[in-house]
Amino acid sequence: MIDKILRLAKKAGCTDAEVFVQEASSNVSASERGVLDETVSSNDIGVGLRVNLKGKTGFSFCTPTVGRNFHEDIVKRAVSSARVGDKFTGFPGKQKYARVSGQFDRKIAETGASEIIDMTLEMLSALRAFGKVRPTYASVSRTLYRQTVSNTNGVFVTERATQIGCGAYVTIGTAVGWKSAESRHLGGIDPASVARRAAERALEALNPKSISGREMDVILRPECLGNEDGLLDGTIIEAMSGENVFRKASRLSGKLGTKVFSENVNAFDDGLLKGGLNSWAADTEGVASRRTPLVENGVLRNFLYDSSSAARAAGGAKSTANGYRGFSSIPSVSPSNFVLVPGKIGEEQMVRDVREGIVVSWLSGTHTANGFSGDFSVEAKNAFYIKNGRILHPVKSAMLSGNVFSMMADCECASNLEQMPGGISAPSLKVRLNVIA
Amino acid sequence: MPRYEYWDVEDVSSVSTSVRVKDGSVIEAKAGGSSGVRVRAFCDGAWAYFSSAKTSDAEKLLAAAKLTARKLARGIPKNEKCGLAEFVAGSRNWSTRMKRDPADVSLDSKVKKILELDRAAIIRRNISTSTSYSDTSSKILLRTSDGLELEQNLVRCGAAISCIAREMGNLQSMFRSNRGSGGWEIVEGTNAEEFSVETARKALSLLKAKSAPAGKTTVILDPLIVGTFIHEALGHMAESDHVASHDSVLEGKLAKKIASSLVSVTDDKTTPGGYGTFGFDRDGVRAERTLLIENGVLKGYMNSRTSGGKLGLRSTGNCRGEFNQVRMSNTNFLPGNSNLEEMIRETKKGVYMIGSSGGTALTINGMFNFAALEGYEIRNGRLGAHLKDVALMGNTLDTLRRVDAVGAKTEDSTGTCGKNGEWVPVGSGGPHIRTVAVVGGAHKE
Repeated sequence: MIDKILRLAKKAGCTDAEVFVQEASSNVSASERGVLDETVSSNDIGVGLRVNLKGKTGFSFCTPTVGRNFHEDIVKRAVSSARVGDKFTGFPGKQKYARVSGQFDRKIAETGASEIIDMTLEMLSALRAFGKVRPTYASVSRTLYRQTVSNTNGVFVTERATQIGCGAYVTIGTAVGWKSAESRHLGGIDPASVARRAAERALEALNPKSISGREMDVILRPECLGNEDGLLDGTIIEAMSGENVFRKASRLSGKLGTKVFSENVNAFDDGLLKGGLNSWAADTEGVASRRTPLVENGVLRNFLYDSSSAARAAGGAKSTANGYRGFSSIPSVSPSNFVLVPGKIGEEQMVRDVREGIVVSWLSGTHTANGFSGDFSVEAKNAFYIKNGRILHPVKSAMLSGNVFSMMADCECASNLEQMPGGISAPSLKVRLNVIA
Repeated sequence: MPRYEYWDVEDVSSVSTSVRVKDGSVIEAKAGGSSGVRVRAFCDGAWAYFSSAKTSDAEKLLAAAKLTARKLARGIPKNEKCGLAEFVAGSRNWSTRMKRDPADVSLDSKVKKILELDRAAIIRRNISTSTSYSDTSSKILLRTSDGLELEQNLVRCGAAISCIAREMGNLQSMFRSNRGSGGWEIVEGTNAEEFSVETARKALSLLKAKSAPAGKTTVILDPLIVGTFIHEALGHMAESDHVASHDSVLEGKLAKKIASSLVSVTDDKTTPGGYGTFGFDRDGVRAERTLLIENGVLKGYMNSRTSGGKLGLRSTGNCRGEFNQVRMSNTNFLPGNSNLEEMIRETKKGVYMIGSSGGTALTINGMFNFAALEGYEIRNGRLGAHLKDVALMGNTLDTLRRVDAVGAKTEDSTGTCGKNGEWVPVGSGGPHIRTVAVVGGAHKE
């Protein structure tokens, strides 16, 4: 299929062409109010075609449904898109790829729908042991991925990956607890202990008390910062995108080599991270994955690039293998596995050092943070009041407001690191924020 | 022996075009198509869903789904077994009303219009612009074990712009969209002065705006943020899958007074041009206007055949998404008889919040938070300082009980609502309203 599309594109006058194929097949088993009553099984495949026609980029996509003329259709659409397209900046050439370890687990591949159901039942029985906890939702999912990039410059890379995930959401009265976990290998998650953790979190949050608001120490736990619902995505990480730097839409624009964050902040992006949920030998345009240092002791070292933003960068830049996409889009800059490096002191020690403050389990409303200025007002969830180094009680409701950039310029990183499903990992962070209660 | 069985097969094929322009030049202009089949089988409270990009797989998937549903049903305790809700079937053939099919407009013309809208916003050198366009046309064929064979063609079209203004490391952004169910006419008629220039001006003016005061205060919400408020803070709690799984603060409150008498809310799947409008839902249920709150009294939930079946309520046609979720369509706060000027005049101290940049709510306890695009301080009945990054937090029922003024003029907006990883287009809106909640001002620099 891939060769036929590339051939047809050449025949239609395209000097360069690239095909990206994305396949996923998954099984999900889900329960509501403690009853396992839903299973999903899906098989998806999609194809994206990017071409260069007379110096302009064209793009189209389709699902290759049997019995249709999709090869011709996708080429025709890509050619008409090239007439109005952006300047063509070149495709990556042939290159060597490193082996990624821990990307594919045969055991997950061999796991069937009935095993997924059994794992969900394990979660439910773990929750039943808690008695009064209401098991609102629990589910387990398993997915096999394959992605393939092939272009007329000689790039051909095809890779498989596996993923298993589970999550539980429980309530007791109006207290809420949730927990999820994902891994590339079967042994990487323990559904029953994830369920138990969700229940414990709801129990911890019972009988909350109001506090009075003011500026205070706030310990943000990993889930406040990492994954797609955390504070870092859409703010700091957007600001590290070469595309936003080029557009002058990044607060970090022009700050390479200067101190932008607190001395104890270190961060990197690593597409080859062992067991990383976004680890691939190549990004989605066939550039070999690598580790890119972003912040070292508070000093900004690099931005992230895909090939197109690298070609446009002032003074020139090389792709850092951060071109990511689904089959229906051209690549854009996105982190692979972003890691905010843990510090030396434990979270418990951090709590002991707080005279007055709160520790927060996760945040709600992070997508309303202003990605450009970094200003945010978000709701703290499952927060606990700390006085003289001791956690005293759960907090009824609190809003946290501040600025992500200034927060990172004056923060302390704890030693615990939680790897997050979104591929953005962070430790707990101690910061100073305005708490509105 | 199974007591209640059901199955359906949905064929979906769609074509879409999208254009992305940044700072006056095209980043991406593309057209594409996709198709697939989604099969569902139900047995005594258990559902099995199968999907594939290959439409020819339908019969094979259906057989597997029926088998799986029966197997799952065996594990469901007797007291949890249930059937599906009563419903009114959708019409056999339904199409979005439009003047000009986007498929009849060339990609060149679409790019030209979006470039025009984007470039019009570059009114100063310190403005960065980003404008996007998309149209999607989906053909849905649904056949069910009840003997229904329904077809609908849904067409949605729209454009959105975001402007970033820069000054000495200070970055402020403003956003505006114009989308709906319908054809090219929605975008073709978009006025660059109002859509682009106004958005850029607002981003520039935010460079001089100050942070909002923090704390509990009187707030006046404009129609766009009222839309977000009623969607996030009330709508999700009235989705009866949450009610059925004891995850809604509205459980057990039907026919009870839950809000100020000034509050009436509907979810209307039939709104002409509404972004969330359709002919029939995923269950094949006819679209209707559902009354949620009337003069402060909770009149109903939004139900699918599944959630309605669990609660013993009829379906309101709110099953959307790939397989089976209770989702909103066009959710509106109904008008009253006040107006903005009067509300401001009567307010001694408070905040006026304008536009929405989204929000979230927790259905179990009704805690919500969302953010406005901009705001103004209100002092002694007059508008004061221009405010940036104004966020609001509160408890839904408390906030709805404290509504003391509702405007007469309404305005609608559009959005995309996510639930358990699935995204659907929705509409929302209402008039200006006044209530009390916690305002979160941002960082003091």
